[in-house]
Amino acid sequence: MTDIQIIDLYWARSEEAIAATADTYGGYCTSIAWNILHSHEDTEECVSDTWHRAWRSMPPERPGNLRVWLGKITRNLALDRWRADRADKRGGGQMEALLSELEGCLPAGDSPEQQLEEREIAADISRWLKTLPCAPRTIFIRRYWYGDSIQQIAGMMGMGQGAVKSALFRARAGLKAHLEQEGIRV
Amino acid sequence: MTRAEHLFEILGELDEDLVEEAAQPAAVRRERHWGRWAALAACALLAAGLWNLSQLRMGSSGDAASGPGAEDAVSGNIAPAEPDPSEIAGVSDPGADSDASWPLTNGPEYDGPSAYLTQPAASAAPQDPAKEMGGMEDMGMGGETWPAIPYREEDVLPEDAGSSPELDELNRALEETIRTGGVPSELDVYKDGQTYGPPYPLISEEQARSLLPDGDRAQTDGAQASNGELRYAATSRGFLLPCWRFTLPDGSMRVIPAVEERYLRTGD
Repeated sequence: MTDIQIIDLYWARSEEAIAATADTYGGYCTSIAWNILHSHEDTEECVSDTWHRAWRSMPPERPGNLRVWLGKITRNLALDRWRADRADKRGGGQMEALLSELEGCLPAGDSPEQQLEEREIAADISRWLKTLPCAPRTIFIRRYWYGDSIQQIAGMMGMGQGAVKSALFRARAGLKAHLEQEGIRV
Repeated sequence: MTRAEHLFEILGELDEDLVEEAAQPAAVRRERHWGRWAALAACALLAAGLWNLSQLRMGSSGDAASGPGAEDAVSGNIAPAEPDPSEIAGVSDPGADSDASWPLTNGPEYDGPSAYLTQPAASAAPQDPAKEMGGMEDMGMGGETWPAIPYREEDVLPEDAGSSPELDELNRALEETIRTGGVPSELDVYKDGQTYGPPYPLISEEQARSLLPDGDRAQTDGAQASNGELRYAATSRGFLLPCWRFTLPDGSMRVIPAVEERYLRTGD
């Protein structure tokens, strides 16, 4: 079933829409939630919440890219759930490691007036990512959008883990320099 | 919410086309396989062309001239299968094959082999760049092609002598890699900010220690010796090589390339 057909089912308020979405994008959303939560129970609930959120959002929304749109919902829900569960030390350390790496991208400084809207910053980072060659850009997004482990990315890209880490390090250093140059404070 | 969490949340708003592109990273690998097959096909064509050429030459100078096909060739009924030299040059371009086979070597930051082929070494007298590089050699590693690295023992500079922002950054990345994932089994070689070929297999610390001169090796044994450290080191030709660095009791350092010797083109 195509994305357009699935979206039409939502707009027609047909309950088949959720089954069709789960069939087509269940694995995709599950992997995103799992990378953040590392708990089968939480992952299952998070993906289920994604379908409900989609049901409530369509209509009026009509996503241009259904897969990425669902992935964003899953990612945000998983992040909220991870925050709620943090006291229980769930996540196997993966999320903590990932956030610790991202600390390296944060420019120093303390000027709240320079803070921009999240969407503006994201658009700026998107523009910067587009200046990178395809491989390091993909590695960066697989790590910090999809939450994949270094090992997974190395397997996916057919590279050694050292090369992936090296590419990530260079990308983080580049992003930090870019944010500092643009005067953006996160 | 920490700032890192905030940044992670912001990254969730990246452009959809970027996220979609990264959803199918396998495409990068498919390109790589395509490149390998293309390189194989090109080699097969080249071999067939050379074989035809040698047969023709044998036929025109030897006994084959009296064979059944020779008369036709002489009389012009069969066109000589002389390969076009420009075609041979094209299909045997090692830099082009390497770039097609290794996606990380594509693009402005990662076109090490082809970029190097067009740039003479900074400190060397002008000469054939391909000869300087040592050519692309099939090292029998599953059909992959590794370029040999031009290297002379006296080229490797002490870390402090070869200090540069790029070297410092690489060493920081290496330290982080070792801290979080242990000693890697392969690493890139860099020149002028670009990777040079696919990641090279590394030798172990013990293998490197065995390559030290006897007197130095004896000093690294025992309680006074410091452990070897995996670092990037600069060479006078501008390469940044992964190296094992040993510190002797008197504070002096010995640096042994961590790249397997067969990938190093030693001497002049």
